[in-house]
Amino acid sequence: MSKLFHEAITLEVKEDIQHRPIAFLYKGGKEGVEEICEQWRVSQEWWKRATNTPQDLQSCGDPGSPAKSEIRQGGIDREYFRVRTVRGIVCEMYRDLLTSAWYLQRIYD
Amino acid sequence: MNNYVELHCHSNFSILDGASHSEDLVARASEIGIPALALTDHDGLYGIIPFYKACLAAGLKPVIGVEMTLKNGSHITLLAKNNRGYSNLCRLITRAHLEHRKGSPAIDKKGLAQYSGDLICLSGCRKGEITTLIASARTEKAHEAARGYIDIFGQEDFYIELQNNLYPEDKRICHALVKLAKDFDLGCVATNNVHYATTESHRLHDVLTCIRNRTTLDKCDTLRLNSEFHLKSSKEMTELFQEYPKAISNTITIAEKCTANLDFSQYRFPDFPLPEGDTAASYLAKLCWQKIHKKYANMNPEIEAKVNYELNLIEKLGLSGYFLVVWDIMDYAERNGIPAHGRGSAANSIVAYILGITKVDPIKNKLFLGRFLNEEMSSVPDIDIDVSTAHRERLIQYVYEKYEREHAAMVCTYVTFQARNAIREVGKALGMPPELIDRMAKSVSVYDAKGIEQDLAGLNDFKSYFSSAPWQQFISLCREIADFPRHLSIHNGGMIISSRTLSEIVPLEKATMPGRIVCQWDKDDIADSGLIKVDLLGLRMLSLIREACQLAEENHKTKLDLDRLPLDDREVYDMICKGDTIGVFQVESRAQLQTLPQTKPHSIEDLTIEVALVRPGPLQGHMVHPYIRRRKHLEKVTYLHPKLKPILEETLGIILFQEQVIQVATAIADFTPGEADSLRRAMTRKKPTKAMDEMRQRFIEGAKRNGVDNDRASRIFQALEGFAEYGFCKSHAAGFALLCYQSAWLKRYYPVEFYCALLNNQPMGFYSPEVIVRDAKRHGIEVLPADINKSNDRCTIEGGKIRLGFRYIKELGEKAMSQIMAERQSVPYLSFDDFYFRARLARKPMENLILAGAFDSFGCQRRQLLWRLGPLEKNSPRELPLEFGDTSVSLPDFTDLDEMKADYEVQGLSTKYHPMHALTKDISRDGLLKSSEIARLPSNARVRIAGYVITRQRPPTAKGFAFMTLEDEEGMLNVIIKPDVYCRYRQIFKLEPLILVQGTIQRQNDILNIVADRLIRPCDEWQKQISST
Repeated sequence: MSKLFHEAITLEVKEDIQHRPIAFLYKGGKEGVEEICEQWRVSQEWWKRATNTPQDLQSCGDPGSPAKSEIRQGGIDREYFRVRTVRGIVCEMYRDLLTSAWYLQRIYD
Repeated sequence: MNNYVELHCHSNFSILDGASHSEDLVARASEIGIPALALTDHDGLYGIIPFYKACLAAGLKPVIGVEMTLKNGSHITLLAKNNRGYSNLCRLITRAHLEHRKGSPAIDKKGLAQYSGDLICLSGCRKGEITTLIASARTEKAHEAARGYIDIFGQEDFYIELQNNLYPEDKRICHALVKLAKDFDLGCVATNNVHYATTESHRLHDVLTCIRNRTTLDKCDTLRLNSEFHLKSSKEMTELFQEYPKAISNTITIAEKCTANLDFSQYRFPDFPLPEGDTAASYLAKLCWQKIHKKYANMNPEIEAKVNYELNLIEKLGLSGYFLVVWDIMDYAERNGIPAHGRGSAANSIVAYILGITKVDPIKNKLFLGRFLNEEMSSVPDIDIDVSTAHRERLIQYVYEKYEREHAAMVCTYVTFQARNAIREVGKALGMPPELIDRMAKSVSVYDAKGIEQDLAGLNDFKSYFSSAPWQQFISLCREIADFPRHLSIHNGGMIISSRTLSEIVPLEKATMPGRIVCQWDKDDIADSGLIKVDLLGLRMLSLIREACQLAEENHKTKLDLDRLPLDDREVYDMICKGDTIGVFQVESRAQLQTLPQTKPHSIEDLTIEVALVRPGPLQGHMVHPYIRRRKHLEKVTYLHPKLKPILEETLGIILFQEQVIQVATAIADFTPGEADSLRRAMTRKKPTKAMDEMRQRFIEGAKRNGVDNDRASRIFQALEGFAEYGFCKSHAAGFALLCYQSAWLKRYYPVEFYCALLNNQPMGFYSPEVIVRDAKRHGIEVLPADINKSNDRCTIEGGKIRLGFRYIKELGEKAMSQIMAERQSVPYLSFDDFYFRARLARKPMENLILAGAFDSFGCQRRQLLWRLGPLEKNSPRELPLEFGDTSVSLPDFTDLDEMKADYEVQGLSTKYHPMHALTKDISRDGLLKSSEIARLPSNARVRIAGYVITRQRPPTAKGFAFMTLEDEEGMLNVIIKPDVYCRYRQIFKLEPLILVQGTIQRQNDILNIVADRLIRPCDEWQKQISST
C-alpha cells in the first residue's frame, strides 16, 4: 500500500553533485537516503509552458482579450526518485527541473 | 574514450516516429564522438542510402539494420553482418510487407528463421517479446522466447538488448534481462532506442506522434514520458549502464562484426533473351541495319558512320543489353498501338531513333550525341519514355510479365512536409483553431516549410500573433518538420529492372494501387546506388492526340498519321503566333502567350527554341529578352568568339541548350565530350565545388592553347556557368516541339475533336476545364450540358457540338455511369420517374444529375425534381407508382444565378454561364470596361475591369512581380502587379475568384497588359455602391 499526495509536499533536500538526494527533512526529522531504488524522468506538456496555448491564438488579436495571454502556465519536467531511507521508509520524490524545487509524491507503507 | 556505438536508431524514415533526418543523426554522432552508427528504422530500409552516404562523408562506420515487427506485435532489432546479411534483411522486410495488409508489415518466426543468416539480432526495445514478458514477470515464457531466438540466430548472434530511457521500471527490467542473459550465456548490449538526434527534438517527436494518431497534443495518450530518446554520448551511456560495462563494450564488438556495404557493382541489368549465336551487341546492330531504311530512305556515308560509331560506343560501354530492353518495351508499345516515345537526352541517339525509341531525327535536328553517350561516362544514361497516360498501365504490366515480378518494381517517391501540409498538420496537432489553420495554409505562398515565418510576416492578418509564444513554437516546429517524409507513394513512372532478384537488393512493398509493388527507394536513391531504371512516364498529351485523331477519323471518315505530318503548315504557325494556344502542348502558359506574338515561331526548329526558352531557367539567366530582341532584329547577333558561331547560330548567339555547353567547351578549350559533359554536370550543382574551380582552370588553359586570351575565355566560361544550372536539353525540347506542333495542328484543323479530347484527358496543362469550355465557345464550338439519354461517361461529339460526359458530375462513380448507360441501351429513359426506377441511383448522384441539368430535356424544373426525389424514395422498387396529392407542390424554378452556382458546385464548370454573371448581377457596370473594349484603348489609358481569375502566378524569377489572367465574357487579359501593389493586395490576389482591377494600359511589342494599382474584392465594391446610393 502507498499514500499518494495529489498535491505534492514541498521537501527540503540535500543533493549530491548529480542532484541525487542524499537526505531530506520529513515531519521535522532528517531522513538519510540509504538507496535509490529507481530513478526516472518525466517531461510532458511542454506546449503548456508558454503563457498561452495554441488554442488561444485565435483570440490573440481580439480586442478585450489580453487576459488570454495569462490563462495558464504548465508543463512538467521532473526527475523522480524512489528511495529507501536509513530508517526503512520507501518514498517517491521528485525534483522539478524547471524550478529545482523538491517534492514528496508518495510514501509506501 | 569512445567505447559506445548506438545500434538502435530511428531516422525520420521511421515515418512519423523519427524526428531527425539521418544526416542530422550522423552529424550529431560525429559531434559527440561516436565512431559508428546503426540505422534501424521500422520495417524498412527507406533511408539507408542517404544515411550510408552521410556516414562515409563524416568518417563514421555505417551499420545497416532494421527494427522488425513480428506477427505477435513485438519488435526485434536486426543488423546486417555482411552483404549476405543485407540481402536477408531485404528479403525479410519484403516478406513482411508483401504477406500482410499494406501499412501493417509483420514477419513470423518461420520467416525469420528462413532468412536469419548473417544477421545479428538484438532482443528489442520495451516492445520486444522478451522484455515485455520480463516486465510482466512471466520469466518462464521469457526463457522460452529466448530459446526460440537462440535457435534462429545462434548464441553468438543473439544479444539481450538493455535500454534505460529513465522510465520507471527500466532499472528493474534491465536487472532481470541481465539475469536471463546469464542463464543462457548470452551477451547483453546497451542501446538507447534513439528517435531524434538531440533532446530538443522530443517536441517534434510528440507532434509527429499526434499526426500519426490523428489527434492533438492535449488529447494524445501515447506520447513518450520524457525526452531521453536522443543520441547519447559514450559518457552518458556508460553512466546509465555503469552496472553493466560489458553491455557498453559489446556495442563496439557488434559494430566491428558488421561490415555490410552498399556495393552493387555485381548488379546487372537483365539479360535480354537473344537469338542463338548472337551477342547483345551483334543483335542490336542487326536490328539497326534492318530498320534503318524506314528512317533514312537515302542512306549516305555520314549516316552510316554515325550509326557505326554509336553502335561501337554502346558496345564499349556495355549498354547493348540496356538498349535492347528499352527497344523491346517500345516495340511492344508500337505493336499494340500504345502512343509512346523516348524523351530527354536519349533523342540525341541515332540508334534510339532508328529503333523507334525516339521520334526526333538527330541528324535533321543537328542533335549532339555527347550529351547522352560519351566514352568517358561513369554512369548509365537514363532512357525515359513518355507514354500515353491512358495506356501506361498496359506497358507496365508488360514489363512485369516479361521480367517477372521478382525482377521488376516501381520506384517510390516520398511525399514530404512542405509549407502547406506542415501548417495544416502541425497546426492540427497543436490544437490550433481550424479556421486559422485554413487561412494560413491558403495564404502562404512559399513551398518550403522553412520559409513560412518570413512569408506570413508580410501579412497583416497574422501580425498580432507573431510575438506570442505558441506562434513561435508553431513556426519553429514547421521549420523542423520541413522535408520530412510524410508517406510513400509511387513515382510517376520509374521502373527498376534487375537480373538479380530485386528483393535481395532493395526491400519491396505493396503500393496503394492494387497489385502494384514499389521498392523502398526513390529515384535519387536508385541513382546513388548505381542501379538502372527505366522511366515510363504518363503523358496525357499523348492520350489526347490519340483520342483526337480517333475522333477525327470517325467523324470525318479520314485516316490520320501525325508522325508523317509535314511540319510547315503556315496556318498552324499563324495560330501559334497569335497566342491562340490554350490546350496546345508546352506553349499555352501565360508567359508563352506573352512571348509567342513576339518570337513568331514559323518552323519546328523555332518551336524547339520556344519550348526551351520560356522557362524559369532562361528567364533567370537573362536569356529570354536578349533572344527576343535579336529575333526581332532590335539587337545585333554577336558571338564571344568566332568559333562559337556555328554552335550558337541557331539560337542567335544565346546559349540555350545543354548540348551547346558541351560543344562550346569542346570547341574553345579542347575538352573531350566526356570532360565537357562532366563540366555541364558540375555546373548544375548549386554549391561551387573544388572540381568546378579545377574545370575553370582547365578551360582557361585549354582556351589559351587555342589562342583565346584569358579575359575572353573567362567571359565565355562565365556565360556557360550563368546558363548551365537551368539549361534545357535540345533533344528533349525537339521531342516536345513535335508534340506541340501535332496538338496545334489538331486544334487548327479538328477543333471539335481537339477540345473534346482535351476535356477527356484532364487534368493536364495549364488551364482548368471551365476555361477550356469557354475557349471552345470562343472558337464557335458549343458545349452541351450532360444529358441523361445522350451523355456517355466521357465527353462525346454530337452533330459538331461537344456533349459533356457524366465524368464531370461529382459523386457519379464508374458503377453508376455504367448502370445509366447499360439501362438505356434498349429503351431510352422516358421521364424522370422512369429514370429513377430503372437506374436506382443513390440520393447524392441523383441530386447532382438534377443540379447539372441532366434531366432538362424532359422539360422539368430542377427544384421541382429535387422535391420529387423525396416521394420517389419512399417507393420500393416493386411498388406501383401511385401519386398522392400531398406530394405535388409548386416551387419557383432556379434563377440563372442558382443554375450557375449549381453547375459549379456539382461539375466545376458551367456550359451556359460565365462566372462574371454573378458579379454583373450585383455590381453596376458603370465605369467597368469589357476586355474587348480595353483592346481598343491606347497605352497609358486608365481603366477598371472586372474578371474571373484563371491564372495567378508570382514566379521566383520575376523580382517580386505577380501576374494574373482575368477572363470576362468576351476574352482574357493579362494583369501585371508590381511588388508594392502585390504587398498591399496579396490576400485578394491569392484568395479571390473574381477581382476588380484598377490600373493603366501598357502596350508593348503588340502585347496588351493592365498594370494594376488596385485590386478590389467584388463584395467591397458592392457595399460601396450600396452605401453611396
